[in-house]
Amino acid sequence: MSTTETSAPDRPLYPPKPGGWRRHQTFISSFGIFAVLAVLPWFPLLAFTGTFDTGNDFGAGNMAFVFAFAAAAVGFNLLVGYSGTLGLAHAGLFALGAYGTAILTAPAECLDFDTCDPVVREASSGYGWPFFVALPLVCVAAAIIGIVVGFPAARLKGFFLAIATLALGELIVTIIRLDDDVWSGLKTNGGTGKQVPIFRFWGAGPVTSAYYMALGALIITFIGYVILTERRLGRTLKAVRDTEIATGPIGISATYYKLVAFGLAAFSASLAGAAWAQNSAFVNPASFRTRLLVFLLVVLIVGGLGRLWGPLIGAVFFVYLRQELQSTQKLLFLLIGIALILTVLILPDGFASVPDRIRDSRWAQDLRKRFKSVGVK
Amino acid sequence: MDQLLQQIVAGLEAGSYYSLIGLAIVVIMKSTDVPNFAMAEMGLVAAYVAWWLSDDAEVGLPFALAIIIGLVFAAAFGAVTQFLLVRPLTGLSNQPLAVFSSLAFGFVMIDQIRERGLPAFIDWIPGLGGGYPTPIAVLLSIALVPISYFILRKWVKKLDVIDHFPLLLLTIGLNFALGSIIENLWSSTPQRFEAPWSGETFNVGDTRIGVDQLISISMGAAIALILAAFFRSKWGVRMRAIAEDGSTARMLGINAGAVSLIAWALGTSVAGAAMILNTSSTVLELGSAEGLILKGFIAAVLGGFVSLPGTFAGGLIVGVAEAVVGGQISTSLQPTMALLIVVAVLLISPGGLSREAKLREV
Repeated sequence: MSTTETSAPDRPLYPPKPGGWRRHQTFISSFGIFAVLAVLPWFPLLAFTGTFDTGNDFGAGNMAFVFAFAAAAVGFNLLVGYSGTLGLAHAGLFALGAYGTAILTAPAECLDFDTCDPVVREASSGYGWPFFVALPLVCVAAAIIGIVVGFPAARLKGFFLAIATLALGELIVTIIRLDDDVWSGLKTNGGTGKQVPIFRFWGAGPVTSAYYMALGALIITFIGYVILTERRLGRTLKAVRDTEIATGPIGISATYYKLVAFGLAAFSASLAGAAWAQNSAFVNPASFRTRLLVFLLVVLIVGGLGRLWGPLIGAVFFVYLRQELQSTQKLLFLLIGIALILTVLILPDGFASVPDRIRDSRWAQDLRKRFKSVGVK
Repeated sequence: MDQLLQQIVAGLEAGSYYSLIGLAIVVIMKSTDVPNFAMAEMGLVAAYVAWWLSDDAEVGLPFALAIIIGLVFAAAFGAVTQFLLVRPLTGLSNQPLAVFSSLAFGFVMIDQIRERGLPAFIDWIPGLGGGYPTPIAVLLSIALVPISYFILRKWVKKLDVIDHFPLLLLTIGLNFALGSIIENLWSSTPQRFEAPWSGETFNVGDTRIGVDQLISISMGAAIALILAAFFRSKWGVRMRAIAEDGSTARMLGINAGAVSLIAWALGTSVAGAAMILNTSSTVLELGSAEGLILKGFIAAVLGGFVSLPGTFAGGLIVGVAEAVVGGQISTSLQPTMALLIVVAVLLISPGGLSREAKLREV
């Protein structure tokens, strides 16, 4: 209380901590999220009745895309929204997860070598690792590469950093593409793409397995996001974003924390990329170029930058739009472009900020005042 | 040796397109501080207009006239974009945006309501499904216009601090929307947009050089010189003043809106020239802009986003490096060159190649 008296007599320096259940609001709301997510896995069971899983509906396959995009956007949100660092290498790191798991888990050779088509062999050969050995290794490797990609953050800021990381992300995809022409150590099968061996959970169908995989990726990134941003790391990243000039003198290395954010973002991107590849069953370098980055930006911006629920809302919006306009690709890009423009113009903080805006609007404030004067709490 | 010369000429040709797109980006960045990701796509719209006017199957005007109209269209298009989309975000009025987009919205909704009824999420209410007769559709649409006008007027707020990120996102959205509009107007099949001199070649020693290559290179250099001269003229000095210190320049009586409008018109016509040169020597297709915009940004980075000579030289360096590496070492290494160059330049000397850029905070 003494700090409030010295700094500002009538107003405390920070808003006071709310009492009661509001004190734990974030944890309660994230428990709500996990409850919803825990119910959702039962959804594909309806596939047996033939309602979902048709591939043409907003069924399990598209739900898996929603989760994968949301998981990637959660990490993107930590990097761009929370630490305020414009690292745009996310599409390349997404590709690392997809290609890494595809190559490591594919069987080493065809079982029946003589009848095996050489073209197919190229597209599906790998190292034959178990999936859950390959996945963490790929994610950790992607996190390390993400930290390397983040090194320009030590010297560059804002828009220039965005261009440097954009080029580095593009470079990752170009190297994947290069592989078959120059050397073939990575077994990425160059520009023609790679088949992804799908991990099956106890004999479940491919779509159902991919659904669980994407859901798992989303839960892991979500839990990680909530835990990390509620603690010291989240507050430090906020400080680095808002007052970078002041963090140095109090002994916080802004560069170090930016690199941590880069590493975490890369981890989530590759995890999401692996889940995405499980769902789409085929990876091609052309699908990880700037266009994917723009999709992730749309998910992030339309959902809400720096907001907990933003990525999930944005991913639902994006995948729904993509599914609705599947037959007319022309209109899809028009609507995505218009949605991005309108979001920047009208709702700079995305859909997730709508409740806040209503609460802070003059209309709601008047209403609250009136209720108070009447005596209704 | 002969091959090397040919590769260098091809590299200079590609490099002059990169330079022109980069110059267009720098002109707009210098005067309004907007990183325009849609620059190449806006130029592509002008190229499509020029093709549509000159093609015999469509309108069939003479080539030179079509190109002049295309460039004038590009200038008008850039000015309209600034007037509608960029003004509200850079601290000027949002009235034009609100008026124009609510009218456009109402116009689109007439068809929608007549054909498909109300939007899908409320047509389950009995009596609301299906289409409506034309008069009712027109009335409903007219009722929607003031609603969207008030929403836009009230909710589109100017930014407190002009930040690059929202503006970049805005232009990315514009990029996507324009690509889609082109596809809807003129299908996505590649078109042949032939200049009168297409296909003509001459020999220097044993090296065969196309006339269109020479024209592209010389036009690129000429446009760069014109731009350099422009920035020494009255309006050019005003632009530099606005870029240097916007509020002081406005206090001294410089009309920021007009300066910004001129910069957008100028930048878009430069981009239009680049895309017309590019598409008339290759083919006219939707993907033309996608490859050029990143290279244009790389050229602009090499110029530090302020220096015109630096940007021009940067574009040429990237083009020649790509062509020579592609020819001498391996074609598959070609796409990596520009990316390696930009990362190296940003890490070694973040301000780009010129000294002017050091003034800007990187």
